[in-house]
Amino acid sequence: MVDIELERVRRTFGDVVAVDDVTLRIPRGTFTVFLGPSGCGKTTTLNMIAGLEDVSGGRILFDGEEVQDLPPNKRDISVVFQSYALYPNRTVRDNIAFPLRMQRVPKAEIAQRVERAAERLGLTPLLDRRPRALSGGQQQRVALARSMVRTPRAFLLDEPLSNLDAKLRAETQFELKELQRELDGTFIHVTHDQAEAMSLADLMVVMSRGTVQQQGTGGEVYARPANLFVARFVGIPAMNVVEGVVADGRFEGAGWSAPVPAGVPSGPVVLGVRSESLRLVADAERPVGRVQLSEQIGADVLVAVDSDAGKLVARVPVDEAVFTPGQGVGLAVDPRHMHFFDPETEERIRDHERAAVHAVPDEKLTRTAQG
Amino acid sequence: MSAVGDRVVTGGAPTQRPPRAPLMSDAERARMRRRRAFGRRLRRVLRWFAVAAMCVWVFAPFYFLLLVAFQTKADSLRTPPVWFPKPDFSNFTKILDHAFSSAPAANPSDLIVPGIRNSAIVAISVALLNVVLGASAGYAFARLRFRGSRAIPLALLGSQMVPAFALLVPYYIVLRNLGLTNTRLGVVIAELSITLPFTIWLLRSYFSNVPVDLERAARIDGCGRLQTFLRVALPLARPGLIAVGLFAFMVSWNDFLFQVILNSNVDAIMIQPAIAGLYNVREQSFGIMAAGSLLAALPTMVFALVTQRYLVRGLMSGAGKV
Repeated sequence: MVDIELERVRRTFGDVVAVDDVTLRIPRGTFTVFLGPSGCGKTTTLNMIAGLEDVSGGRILFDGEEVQDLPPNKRDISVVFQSYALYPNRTVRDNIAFPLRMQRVPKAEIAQRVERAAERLGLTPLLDRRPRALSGGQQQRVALARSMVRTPRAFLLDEPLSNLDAKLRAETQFELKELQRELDGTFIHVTHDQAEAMSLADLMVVMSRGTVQQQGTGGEVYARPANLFVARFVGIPAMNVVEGVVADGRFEGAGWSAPVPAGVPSGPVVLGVRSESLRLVADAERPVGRVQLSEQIGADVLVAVDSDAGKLVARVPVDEAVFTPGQGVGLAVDPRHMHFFDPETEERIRDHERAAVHAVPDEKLTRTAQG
Repeated sequence: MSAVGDRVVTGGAPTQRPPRAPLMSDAERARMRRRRAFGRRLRRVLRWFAVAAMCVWVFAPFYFLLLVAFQTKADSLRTPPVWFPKPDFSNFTKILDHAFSSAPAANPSDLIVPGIRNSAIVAISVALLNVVLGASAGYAFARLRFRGSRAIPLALLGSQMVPAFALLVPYYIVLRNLGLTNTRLGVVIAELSITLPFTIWLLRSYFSNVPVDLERAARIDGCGRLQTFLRVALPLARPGLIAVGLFAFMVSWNDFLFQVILNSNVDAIMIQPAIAGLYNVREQSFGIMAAGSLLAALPTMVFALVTQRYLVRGLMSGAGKV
């Protein structure tokens, strides 16, 4: 297992900058997830760590040792590909054994290690089949077995779950995490699914347009998105966003008027509110929006409200969701759950956060847009 | 039957549909059925005739060849022909008679066996060289990017448009200057230059179809570039390799033009010119010609039969996502 460091790593394709100055520290034994929309450079970054893609600039270090110029077979890492990339002409046994055979491990030991890996992943009855005769989930496990059979220095996984159905994905997700604990391995997992990232990641790296937008634990990223992109990308439904101005300790904009925590600088801002922090007030005297649609997701209901600020979504427990379409509602937000962003740079405004700890009154909800 | 009425959500009570009048009587329906059954049978008979006609078209000349080869000369010249004669092997014995003696060839028929041997050497060499050179070149064009990696394959394809006939004289001059006329090596070079462009083109597309992820996986699993090619790409292109090998073998086995022009040495004679040499109007040696032709056709037929399952089967399925 290794510590992996990326120092100002770049990758360009002609004029297109796919990865731009990425600097990361991935400590050994962490489950790191690269999260981002397609085309954000997360797979390219992974491929550069694997050695499948040349770097255009910067350094990649394994335990402090430069590896960016080594070919993949000299880096001793494993990759699980999105397509699984099993050798179709070889049996499951030979697929799993292949990396060991390339390392010239003695035959008896190969057999033993293949058996062990297969047993760990429940593949023993399938060892003599060919990949074609396996289901997608089974193929995925073979790919996993092939990657863990030789205890590589790091495990790289490129969207390994995206071809599985929802139930299998959830199970495999859990197993991946378990496997990582068991092997105490350095895992780097690439996905565009923020829920998957949230549940797997010790360290979450959110990427967009070739740059790292934010890194931290899933909880940190969710609770304190570093900019509007992260705010919108992480969390389902996406964070509600209202543009307005802060003046005299109040936020005003798009029909909203609400006190803000002390320390938020005056001037134009973008206010972000998560759906679960947005309360709907049924009997508001001057409603700021109309209920458009309710959609039940398990124990909660997502209520879409049409307002001057566009479509807002509130997450309401089922027993409180007594709204009918067309009904006028008021909105309320706990100031502690407000996120502020600079409309120019789209960066998070952090000035108030230290102050807020002391300044904000307890549980009291503040009604906004009231008469 | 009134499902449409039941599904109405708004607007009064469900409406009931009146029962529909039958479109045709039972008698009419029975007649329709009979007519349809007749049509089906007619189609089947026609299809059978079409297949039979095609078989006759293909096999009749071949059967005639067999007839002539396995008949005595007298029988073969009879009109009308004897369709089911008692087999007679004299034509074959005459061809094979000389095969195991070291005496110099006295008759044209003595050249058939050496012709087969020379053709086999040339055709097998051409086939193997096609596989080896075609696979390496095709893989390079499919996977590597270098100056000309796109233009050269197109030029190779373009070279196929030039009729071989136009190249005959230039080849002769070049090979003569190299002192390679009248040798098997010269013929191998000529046949190679005819077959290799197509082989490269075909294998290039075969290798392009090997999923890139498989080769990346191989790199991760510890293969260098050469090992990736040998252990992963090559086995997956096996149907293609067999196909081009067979193609090259057949082309150089069946070629007449180059072999007759580039070689006038009896020791290096190939099978097709050897058969052509059997033709002798005065002797009317059709039986020998037929027997020689049969022997010449045999290897390609056997190869085609043995390898057809490789030609048809693709090994690619299962490589990518399901």
